[in-house]
Amino acid sequence: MAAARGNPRILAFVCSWHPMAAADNAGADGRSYGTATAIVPVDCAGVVSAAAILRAFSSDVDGVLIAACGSGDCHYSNGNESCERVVQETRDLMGLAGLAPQRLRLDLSSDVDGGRFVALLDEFAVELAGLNGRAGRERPAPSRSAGKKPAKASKAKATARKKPAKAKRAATKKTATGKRTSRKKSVAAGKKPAKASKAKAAARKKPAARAKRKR
Amino acid sequence: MFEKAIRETKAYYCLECGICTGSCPVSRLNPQYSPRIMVERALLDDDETMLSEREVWDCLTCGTCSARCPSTVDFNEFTRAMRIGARESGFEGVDTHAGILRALMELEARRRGRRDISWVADDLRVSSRGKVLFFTGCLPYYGVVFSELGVDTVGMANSTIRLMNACGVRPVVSRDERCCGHDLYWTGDRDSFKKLARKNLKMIEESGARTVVFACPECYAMFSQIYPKFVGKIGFDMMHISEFLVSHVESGRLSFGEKESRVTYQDPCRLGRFLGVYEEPRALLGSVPGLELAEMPRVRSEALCCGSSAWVGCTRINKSIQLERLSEAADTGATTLVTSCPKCNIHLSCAAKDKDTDGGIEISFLTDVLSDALAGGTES
Repeated sequence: MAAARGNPRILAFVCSWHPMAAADNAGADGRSYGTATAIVPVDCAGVVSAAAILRAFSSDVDGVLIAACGSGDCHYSNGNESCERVVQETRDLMGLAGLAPQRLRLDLSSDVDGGRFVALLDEFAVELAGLNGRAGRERPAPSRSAGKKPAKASKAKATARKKPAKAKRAATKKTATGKRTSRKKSVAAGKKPAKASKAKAAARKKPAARAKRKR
Repeated sequence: MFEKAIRETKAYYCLECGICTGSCPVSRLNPQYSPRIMVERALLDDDETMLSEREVWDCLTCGTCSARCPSTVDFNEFTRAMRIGARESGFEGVDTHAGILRALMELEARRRGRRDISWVADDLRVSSRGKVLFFTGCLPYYGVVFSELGVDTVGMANSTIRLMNACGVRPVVSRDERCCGHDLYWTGDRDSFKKLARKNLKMIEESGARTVVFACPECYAMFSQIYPKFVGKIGFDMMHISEFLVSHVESGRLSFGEKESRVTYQDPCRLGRFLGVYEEPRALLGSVPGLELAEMPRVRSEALCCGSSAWVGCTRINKSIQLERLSEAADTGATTLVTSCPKCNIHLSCAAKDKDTDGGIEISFLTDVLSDALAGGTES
């Protein structure tokens, strides 16, 4: 379940080796996590730069999670170690800029258990909701089932929800296939799935859907 | 498209004499880059193709060309207009340091939140409200980003406060300060720059400061020359730390102890060509007993730029300019190259590290040198 207070926006940079397997398993198991969580698969956690993390915070993300492979398990030998250095440097900069360093979390694990991955996101969401600032101002939103349609949703509601999800999947897929998408684009794509043109069009056509989404 | 820029920068006065290209430190090393040809192409309405070219981002905005131009064409502003156009057309320069500094500036422009000022050394006296404000700029951030270079920018900020304390001034160091927006301005990001400018002016107004002291010439140049263009008259005095200290040395409130050393001084583009502050840093160095100043061949308005600006583009060309300057400094026989701009310090230190100069010249910040000399001096 998502955080009790609000639904913090989390951007998760997930290494495409062990951690992404865990995320995939979470989807396969039908586990759910906060609707405002966007997963950006990266080739290795070592490619996540301090600039990418800071840009995420510029774009009103509440927290950034970096899921890297466990110690000694990096496919590229030391990507997770260099990621640790980047995270430390970024935390120092965040502290100076007045952003709580807890908003940036690094998870080093080679566990591919989907349950652990979702628990990690939920725990992070709870921590973010407890921090002062944006996280507390979020409107409550229902949690989305990973890979499943909400069972009792009306048709209009389903359209409004499904489209952004699709848009987000498309955005993440693009990165996963190895196409060189800039980090900035990934952040934008991950952050605002609801702004995809199709979803917008659907919302325009059905005022009922728009009203419900606004709520 | 560039009509306005051509009119405002007086580019139509261009005589095509080529003094700009002959003066340009980049053109010397990269024949592809020529300020004269760029102005000419803009005048011949060839804008669109120019915007996508790398050369748009090559200018160091050092101002050497404009200082020598017989028609006083403002090539810096011309470059900025091109960069705004390039950004609007979807082209960007290559950010140095993996874009971390740009990301920080954008973060400061967009997010609320107060800076942490725990970096101020415990023995220093600062306040939250007062008549004199010390604008720290990005010095605390650079301390994290450039720690590997051995450039202690936090130390620079602390030595500045130490000197101000020695003058009997307890400066305001505000938690609501933001980056001055210099780099965003010169790379054509108008919106973020304006946001930063507004936040800074509000912060100063709220602090009650009548005088703002800068350790970074870029911040000083932005506040005194660029901010008024966007916000009108500014209601407080501004001065560089060297100007502030000189007045206290002259009045006898500040003096330094003996320090045997032979130093040379790098004129930063912003402090020198932009603001015309050449003598104050030299007067300060001259006021330290035992400190001998050896000048490089190119000084004051002829000084060579430190080779990079606005955290955009750092290539072989930039490195060559930096190494050229370092060898000029070493040739003076000085043991220390003193700069009064944190960025000159960073850029030249980076080049010195790359060059792996054993026994090469040491690079120091003006306030660090003076603060060291203070230890033996008499404090008022």
